[in-house]
Amino acid sequence: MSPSCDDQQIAYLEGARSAADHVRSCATCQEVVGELDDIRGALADPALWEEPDVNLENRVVAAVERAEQAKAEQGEGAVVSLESRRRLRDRFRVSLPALGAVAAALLIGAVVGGGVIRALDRTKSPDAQVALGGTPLAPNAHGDADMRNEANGVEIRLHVSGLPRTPAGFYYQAWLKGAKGLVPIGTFHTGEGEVILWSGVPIDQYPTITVTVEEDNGDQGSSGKRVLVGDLRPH
Amino acid sequence: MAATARPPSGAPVPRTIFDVADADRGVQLSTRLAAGDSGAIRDAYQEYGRLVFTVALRVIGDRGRAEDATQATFVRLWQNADRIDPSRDLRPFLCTIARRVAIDVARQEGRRPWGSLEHADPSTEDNGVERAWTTWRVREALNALPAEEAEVMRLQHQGEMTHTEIAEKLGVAVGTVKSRSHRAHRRLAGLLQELREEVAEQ
Repeated sequence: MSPSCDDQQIAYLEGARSAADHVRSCATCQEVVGELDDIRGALADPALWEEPDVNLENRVVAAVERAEQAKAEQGEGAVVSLESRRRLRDRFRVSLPALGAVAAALLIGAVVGGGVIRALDRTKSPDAQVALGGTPLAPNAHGDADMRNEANGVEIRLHVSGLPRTPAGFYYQAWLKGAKGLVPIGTFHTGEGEVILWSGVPIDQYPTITVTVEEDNGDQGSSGKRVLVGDLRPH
Repeated sequence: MAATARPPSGAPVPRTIFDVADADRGVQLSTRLAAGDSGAIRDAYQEYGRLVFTVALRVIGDRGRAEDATQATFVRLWQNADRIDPSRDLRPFLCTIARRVAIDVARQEGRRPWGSLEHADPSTEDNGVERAWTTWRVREALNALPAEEAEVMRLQHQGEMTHTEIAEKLGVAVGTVKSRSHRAHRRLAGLLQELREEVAEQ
């Protein structure tokens, strides 16, 4: 391959018309015109210049985590060991910077709605845990809750991810659901981080946790618009 | 990142210093995934996420759904991790999974049983994957360019700007733009040799 053909091929990639005439008429360049056209096609392909969302990496990791949790629950039956949940959560834990400034602010102390946000306290093992999955309204949402029986009621530490922050006039409402109906346990408006909720009813009679999105319109009842659902598992 | 031999060959055949690094990194990732190392998923995405996204985008044509397909592809990969052969290049399997997942998304068939990786036939030639593979390879070559050359390439091919317009935008001489463009395209032309060798190997 002569240097002139080399330069002609480079010029062809750059889109020079004179180079196109040479490449298509030169016997030597004809051997590579197919590959040249492949590269030119790639350069003109909009897909070449598209970038996936920067958050896709964390979404992928979270999706694999959910799949792993679902697999673990199927394999272990009704009981999910605390150690396995802690291992899963620690493996896929997204760093604080990745959660964003809002989540970081929540973890160092604030009061939001009916819940209290404060630093994680893992000194006491939870009495029960639940994994929450997203719904068609929020397919990328997921979470898990640690429940501890305290003197004032049942403390529920809910870790949420994959939900957008609610706009003005809307909020998230967490509920316990049982045979007798729904009991509200707190409201919040963040979709990432931890919220601490409280229940005045025994969790064994209200074994399902749901989170709905509600409008601030004075209606005390549930909107029915569920974004997270999970069933309690005894520890 | 330079490319290694294209599927459906077996273990990748390194040809450059970058290929050696790629092959080693690929084997390490495959080994970790096959061993159930969940941390390997993040590393696999950082290594191959762009490739999977490109395949999905070429099939679906919609960025948001391509991202969903990318997410589903890595879940499928993890669910079948115990069937990964660490001695084989992971990319053919990933591309095949990505294509099939993307087709499902495009047809809006919802979830259906995917089956094991044994059903992912890397020898199946598909125009979508072929073109996505080339697109990804060109993209990787662009990523390896010096920043000023990559910028000229982007403005020229994505922005469809002339050398004069690029020079005015960047505040440099037209000759500088032409030099950067020439160097960048010369590097891309170097891909020709690799592509030709891959075709010859098949």
